[in-house]
Amino acid sequence: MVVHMKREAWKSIAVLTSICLVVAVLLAAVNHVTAPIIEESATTGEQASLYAVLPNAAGFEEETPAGEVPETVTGIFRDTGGSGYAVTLSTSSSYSATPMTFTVGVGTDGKITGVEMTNYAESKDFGEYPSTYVGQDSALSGVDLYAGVTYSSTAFRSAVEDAFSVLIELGGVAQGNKTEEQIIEELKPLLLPGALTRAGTPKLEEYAVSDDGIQQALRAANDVGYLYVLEDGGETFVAVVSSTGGVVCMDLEGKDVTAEQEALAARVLELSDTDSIHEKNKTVAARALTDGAVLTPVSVSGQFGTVSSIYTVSGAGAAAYAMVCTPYGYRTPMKLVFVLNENGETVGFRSAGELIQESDYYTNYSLDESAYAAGLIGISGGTASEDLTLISGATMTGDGVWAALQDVFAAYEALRTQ
Amino acid sequence: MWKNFLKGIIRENPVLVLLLGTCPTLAVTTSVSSAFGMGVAFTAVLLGSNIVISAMRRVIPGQVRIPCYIVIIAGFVTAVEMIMHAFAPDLYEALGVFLSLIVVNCIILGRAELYASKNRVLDSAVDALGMGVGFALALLAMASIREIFGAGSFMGWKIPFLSRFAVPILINSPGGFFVFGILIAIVNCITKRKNGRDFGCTGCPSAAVCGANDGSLQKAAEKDRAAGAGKDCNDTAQEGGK
Repeated sequence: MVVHMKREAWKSIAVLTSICLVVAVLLAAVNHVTAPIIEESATTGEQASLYAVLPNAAGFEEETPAGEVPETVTGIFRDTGGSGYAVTLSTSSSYSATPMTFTVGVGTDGKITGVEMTNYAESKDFGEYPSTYVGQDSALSGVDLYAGVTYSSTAFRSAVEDAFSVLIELGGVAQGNKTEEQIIEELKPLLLPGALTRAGTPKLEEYAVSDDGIQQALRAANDVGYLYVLEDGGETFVAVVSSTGGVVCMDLEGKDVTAEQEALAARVLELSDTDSIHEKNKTVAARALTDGAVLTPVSVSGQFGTVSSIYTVSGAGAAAYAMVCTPYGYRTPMKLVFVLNENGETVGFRSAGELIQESDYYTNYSLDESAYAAGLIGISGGTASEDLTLISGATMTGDGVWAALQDVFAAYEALRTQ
Repeated sequence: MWKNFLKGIIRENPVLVLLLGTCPTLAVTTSVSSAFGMGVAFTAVLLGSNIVISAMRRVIPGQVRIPCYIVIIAGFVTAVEMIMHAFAPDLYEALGVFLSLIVVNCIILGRAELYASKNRVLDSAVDALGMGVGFALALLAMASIREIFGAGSFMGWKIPFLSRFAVPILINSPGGFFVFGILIAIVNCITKRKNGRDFGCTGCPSAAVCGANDGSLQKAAEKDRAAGAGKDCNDTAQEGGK
């Protein structure tokens, strides 16, 4: 009986082991046949978009630039046949759960040979927009943003610019020539950063001025300043007057020429009606202060982004300065009032109107506005942190408050040293 | 032999009558192409494992029969997986984890234990083909309804009118259960009209295979009751079938 049981046990072990061995050998044989095909198909799948933008490429070799690569650039591939480069990019307009990924092919002549979208999950359709980039050089002078899909097209364009910047640094392609109009458009956000909407473009309104030398007179929609394109002595300049009084003049090479062009600075300062902005903001600022507070607008040299008006305050206890900031939240500019004491600590904060305007798309936030405002009291430039301004579920509003807070402390420092 | 093949299609359909393999059925029937791929993969694994198990039925000792069956089935599943990955990568991606999960599909282990381990190779192969085709047809029927009315397309091609009036819930889990229930009701209606049914062990479509009709099942059940052992239908059936 025992012998029989032992024999059965050994037989069981032997049969099971044999089956395992045979199965393993057969699987190894199948793997031997399929593994190379799987590997080849994986490589082809990864490189499909590269061949789509550079169809005549002989093969691709990944390049690693020595310098820092922008976050949007996920891969740089050189055609081993020498026809150009394919750059894989990943960006987002914050309107989709997954990033927008695409591949751009750039020929050795520095012009885009093709654009292949590999993932597009934005809320609005792009249509034929990517194909308008084909044939463009690094100047991208022939493409505009896509009306109605501004956020996605801005993110797309900026990623393509990143691709060119990397390729130019690598020495793979030459820089394209920008038109004068393009240079001016690029200077605008640099000169008036406080006027930038969440899409990253400045919102400026044209207005008429009685000065023949002014080619373009623009006013920031959120009252942070004025921008002028003007000609003087045969040269074109871009000048900006911030509503807090600072003036900056730049030539089209991006050089600050304010000191050399004093007459020009005085000319644009005279054209800018900052007083009306301060008068309008005074009513808003007064709401954050006790009755009887006297507000006097002050001018400060320099630029302070989203700060629209600065007032010295008297007759309102510890309050020494009141600043009205107009950063963009979700869609329209907010009107935020920060009140500071002599030491630069916040003693008051108020939003004119409802702070959060993001309800169109995002309703998943909860904010006790008075508790939020209380959290912004008693802080200074040294103790301010982004966490204090963060609003869960309403990130754009939180970002706007944070930008304004930083500008307020920068303006206070300038006031103190003035 | 023809009867053996046909039984898996309606009378003993593994999905709609025996209610086995419900999980992959609901998961992959969101599109006809996935259902077709799953049906083919499943039939290949079932055919291969039934043939091998039947051929080895006198060699495999009773104590280790289940581990042996699992190793054989797993071997076939892995091979099918590798082949599909190499030659039909899109289908491989679409089926995802459900392809690997064929290893633990009750239908395959059930046919191995109930049929292949007791019958000749040819009969087992025909049984596997019948069951595989039955499984694939059930999946295709369900996927067709879900894709046509849930997504307004067939095999990925948009159907002009329906694509505008699709009912997306059919693509989701509740819609899957709904279609599954309707198909079961239809098949139940057909088989009941033909055969008459009771819901006990003897009314089970697999009763002939597991021994319920020759009295051995009852004898084994009585023996179990006397021994005080609590065993389910399958355990008893296995003993009764010996």
